[in-house]
Amino acid sequence: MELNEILRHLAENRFETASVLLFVVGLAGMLFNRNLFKKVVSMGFMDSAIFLFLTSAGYVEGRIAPIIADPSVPATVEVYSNPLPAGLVLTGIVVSVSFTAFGLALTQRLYKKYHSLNIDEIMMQARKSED
Amino acid sequence: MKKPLWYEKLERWVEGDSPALPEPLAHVENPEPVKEEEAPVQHGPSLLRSAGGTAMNRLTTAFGILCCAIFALLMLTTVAYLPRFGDADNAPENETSRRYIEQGLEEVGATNLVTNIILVYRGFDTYGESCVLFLGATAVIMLLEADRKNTSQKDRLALRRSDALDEEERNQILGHITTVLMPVIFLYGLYILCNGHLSPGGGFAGGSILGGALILCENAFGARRVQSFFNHKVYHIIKVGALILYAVLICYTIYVGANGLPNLIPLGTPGSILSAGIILPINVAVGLEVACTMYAFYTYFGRGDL
Repeated sequence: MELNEILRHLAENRFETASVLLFVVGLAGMLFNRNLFKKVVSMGFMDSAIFLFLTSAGYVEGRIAPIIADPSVPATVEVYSNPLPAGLVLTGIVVSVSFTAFGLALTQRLYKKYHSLNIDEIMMQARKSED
Repeated sequence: MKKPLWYEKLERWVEGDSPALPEPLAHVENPEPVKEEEAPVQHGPSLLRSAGGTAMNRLTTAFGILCCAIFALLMLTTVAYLPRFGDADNAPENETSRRYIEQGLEEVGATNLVTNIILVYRGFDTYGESCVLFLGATAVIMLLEADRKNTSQKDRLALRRSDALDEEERNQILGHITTVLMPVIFLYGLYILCNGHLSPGGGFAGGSILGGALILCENAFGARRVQSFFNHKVYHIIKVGALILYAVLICYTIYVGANGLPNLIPLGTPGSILSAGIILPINVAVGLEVACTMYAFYTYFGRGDL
């Protein structure tokens, strides 16, 4: 594909593009932050990016949310957008909540022991106490 | 203007409480100079630098940036080749979702098709998800429970003193507003919880609201008031009971469905509140568990106890 065409496709899939960028922001945060708290927050960024990607996969132009307004009319695919990705996102959200809580709990324990959130300092102190 | 004490505390905590150790990578990451007060990074005896790691550090950072750039490029290229956003012929719009949309109401009975999928069609998966939440709560409790082994006498005294101080100086405004808002928030949470099969919402969303209401209650009236109706015993009963109720219901559904037996739980009229068979009880169970877990997360992080 030519660059023009690629850019046009990216603009068309703007939600996916945004989610990829958000994911990379989170990844960079995980890699470059020395602060454990910020690392957990960056992980949250990555989670949100994935949720955005999944939900945008379920959207279909011109169709309404998959909640049946009138049960007497038989539901057809032409009316409702795809409910499956929305269901899958829920799994991700719950796992991300659990992960965040667990990560923060570990961080708090580390802070109580080493009085620092900086990963380098924690490693240094841990090594010192090992010797 | 002086910053409030809690803000300073939070700031120090978030910053890692290590003024002597500047973030060595902050500069390479932002090419433009940051704010003036942050710019003069101390070139003092940093832990990494004293080990002769400056060049190594630069290399690691460069490698990290390279990795991120390559990853972003790869993913963006993939996105460019994805089918158009919102197109009806996309790969996810296949016979699976067709079945869920066209026969979901008749087979399961909830007008909210997403609820149909997550609680019945993929109920086993959602059960695993509840277990993940349960495990998360258990792990947090294991790590943060303040017992004799991991808390010093001093910490316990400090906690008791701050509790007593809170008891004396209740925030009047917060207390009054909470008294007015609390019933409304609880009602709204219950509404979302019980309407999960009819409208957007359900156990996870409603449970989060109920948990938030409990947290507000704790802040406004003190931990002791919440403990009077929500102690360890109640917490464990709700947490385990909800999970067991969910497990029984989902096992029943799977057993009945797999063996072609008639389902004894009536599906009811679609659209009314008592419909959709097992979905309403499951939503209530999930909601209770989520509310408990949210509140437990909050209190264990703050006090190390319920």
